[in-house]
Amino acid sequence: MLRPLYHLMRADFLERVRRVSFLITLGLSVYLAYLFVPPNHTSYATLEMANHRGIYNSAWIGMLVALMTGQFISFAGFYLVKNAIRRDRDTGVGQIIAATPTTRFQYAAGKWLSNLMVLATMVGVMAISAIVMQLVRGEDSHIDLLVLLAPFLFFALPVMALTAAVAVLFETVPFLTGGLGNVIYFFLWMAGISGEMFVAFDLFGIKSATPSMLRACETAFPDYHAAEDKFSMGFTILGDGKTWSLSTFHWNGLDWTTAIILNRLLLIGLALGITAIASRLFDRFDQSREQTTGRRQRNGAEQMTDARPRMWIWLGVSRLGGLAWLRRIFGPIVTAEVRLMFKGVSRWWYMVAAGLFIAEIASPLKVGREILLPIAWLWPVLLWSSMGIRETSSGTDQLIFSSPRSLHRQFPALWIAGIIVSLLTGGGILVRLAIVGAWSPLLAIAIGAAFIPSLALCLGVWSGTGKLFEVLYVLLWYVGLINHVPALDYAGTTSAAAQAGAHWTFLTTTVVLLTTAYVGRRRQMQQ
Amino acid sequence: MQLEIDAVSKEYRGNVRALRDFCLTLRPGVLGLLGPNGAGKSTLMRILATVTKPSSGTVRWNGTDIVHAPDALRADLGYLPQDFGVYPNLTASEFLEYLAAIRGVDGATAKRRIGELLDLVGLTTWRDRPLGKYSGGMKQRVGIAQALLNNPKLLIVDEPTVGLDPEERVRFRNLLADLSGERIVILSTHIVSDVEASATEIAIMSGGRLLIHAAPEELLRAVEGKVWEWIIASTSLPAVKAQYLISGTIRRTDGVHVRIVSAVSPGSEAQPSSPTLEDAYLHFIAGSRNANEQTTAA
Repeated sequence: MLRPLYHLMRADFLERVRRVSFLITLGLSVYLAYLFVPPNHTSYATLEMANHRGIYNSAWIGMLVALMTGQFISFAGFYLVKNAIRRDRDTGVGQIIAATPTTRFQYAAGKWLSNLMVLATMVGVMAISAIVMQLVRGEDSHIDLLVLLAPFLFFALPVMALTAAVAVLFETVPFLTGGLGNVIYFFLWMAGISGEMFVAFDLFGIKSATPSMLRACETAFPDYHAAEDKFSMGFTILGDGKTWSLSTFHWNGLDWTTAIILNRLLLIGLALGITAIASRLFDRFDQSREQTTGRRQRNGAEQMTDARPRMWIWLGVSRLGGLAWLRRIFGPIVTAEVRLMFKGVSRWWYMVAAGLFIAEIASPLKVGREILLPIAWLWPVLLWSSMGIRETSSGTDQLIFSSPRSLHRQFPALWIAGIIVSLLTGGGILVRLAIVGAWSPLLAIAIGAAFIPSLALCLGVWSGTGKLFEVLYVLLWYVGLINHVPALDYAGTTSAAAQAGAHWTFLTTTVVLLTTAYVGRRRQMQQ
Repeated sequence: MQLEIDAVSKEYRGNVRALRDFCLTLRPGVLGLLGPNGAGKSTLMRILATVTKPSSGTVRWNGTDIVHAPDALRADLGYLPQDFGVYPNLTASEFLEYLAAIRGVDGATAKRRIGELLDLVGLTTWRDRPLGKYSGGMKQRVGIAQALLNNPKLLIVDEPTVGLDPEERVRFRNLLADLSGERIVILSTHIVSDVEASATEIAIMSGGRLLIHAAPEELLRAVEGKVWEWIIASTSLPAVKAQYLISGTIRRTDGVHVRIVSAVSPGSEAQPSSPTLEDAYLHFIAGSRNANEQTTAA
């Protein structure tokens, strides 16, 4: 039982950590740890209580970095490790494994352990970086290793165990294996962070850790009342060039009670339970159980060869038909790229998109801009995320890259196809703005429509996967379009964004992204 | 030691029937499984390797139904799939160590066996090099080594010589011949010459059905007196191709030397020739195709 488990974990772990990308990940982990411990008088704070924070001793730094690590690595780490089973499927190693006596639970548990090892390595690097940061900040030079490392062990690692298990689960549930799963996890993680789903469960350890910290703050600053005053964790940024001036107090660490330890063990138990469920759902690489995807691909192929494709043009007038209108405007290459982009998309997708388009035209401008447009520009995220990677993932790269003037014909066509997707989904609001003659917000949305495919193309070409776009875009979407942070509002959904000049920033960014994507594609073609 | 395949059918969604009532009983020796692309060979291989379950029918390994108790076979099984990959950042030793462990081979035996197998496939000097730096042929040799890790009683190899250069192909054929003995080897391929070199029995399948299962000699006997060599003008070639089953053509200065499989002599100048397995294979496949066409027409 244990030997196969160990080797399953070891082989997968070695395969991952020997990649250059893993070294880059570790480098980023060090940088994150550096960011988590900001000096005083800087523009952001990571843990503050109404302008107070603990002195950077081992207890405070250990807790701060461990809690932040739990939150950040449970997000980024998920996407990093959610490929263990897929790699076996893609390489064909899975078929060999399927023909061995290894049980489904052994396999799932091996992958869970491998995921956990990768995430634990990152946590370990963060912990070492935290020690270094205590010395760098120099507020307290006495290093108490046990006190500093305990939060990593009891708070961060159990979260990693859960993240590792959820990654295995997402790889075994067919509809969660791809881009949809990536998007769904983002919302799950957001729910976890906001605590809404885990009111009775201390997921990251924040509920266990903060009462003691707040009490220490109250003791040091009697005017601070934990129940009423502010407590914030995360990157709290002051705008307009302002800097934080935090007064400090002593906090000597958490009393690790049995209740806290049991809570964390429960999390590991939950992780094991999820792994067990994943093992039950795991198809053991039986290709005959993957027919849904195959059928979808076949349907897509049929659409490609059908003289009258079944795709709907949901402008409500006619079907996409022979795409003659598109061909007349953009030529055959753009038409082909648009077709490819919509390949395999279900009718439900078109119906929802059509509904959104009509609602954008029919509803009040404010609702259209602030609510409907954000939804409409999340809807095609999986279409955009295929940009720049389709050629390599489908193995047609050599055919496409060897065609005449591919870089100057197919590449721009691909980008235009991405813009068409933006316009087909968010176009209703553009029509509405044009009718009322609101040219400034119309310009901001038009820039947003070009920005999204530029981002997708750039990330796709350079990373070779759609995952990076899916994660970063949804994050940007959440901050910019849902929370309306003006500087990141790439669609100019509020007047604050226009006042902040966000659309000009995004226009410049679009040009930079497109140029970077162009350079990346040229590099791909020369390899 | 016996593998019984009894009335096995496999239907994929969308009414795609990959296998139809397939029956075969195997005992120690090398079975060459021949058939055109899409004949259902790989589906059958995956079912025998316990990767896929049949829609109906049973497969028994030494009397145990492996559809319901796959572990009865897995401990005795070596499998080289058609589309086989590797972990590019692991060395050959590490990769084989990993697969030995999940096959249940103990550490000491695995270490010894990996050394022997790397030697057997000629990769000893490359054993500590990452697999990502191997050529296609070298990766295929690693695949062959992994299939032999547990000294399997049933060895299933699906299109194993794809990607091998002529020298490697000969080496593999010899290896396969050496491996036969007290084990069942199933070699699935559409390259008849691979089977010719090592198979003790041959099964030909088409359209998901078993057309014939016989010793190579029996197959050859079936086309005895039906193979002809005929020298014709190149202008006559299209007409001859339309009329007869051609198993080979060679252009020479005196015309085109055509090899024909036909029950009757195609022409007065045609000379009878000794049949090969390729002739027999084409004969059975063409027979199956004609039967299907007649059924469709009826």
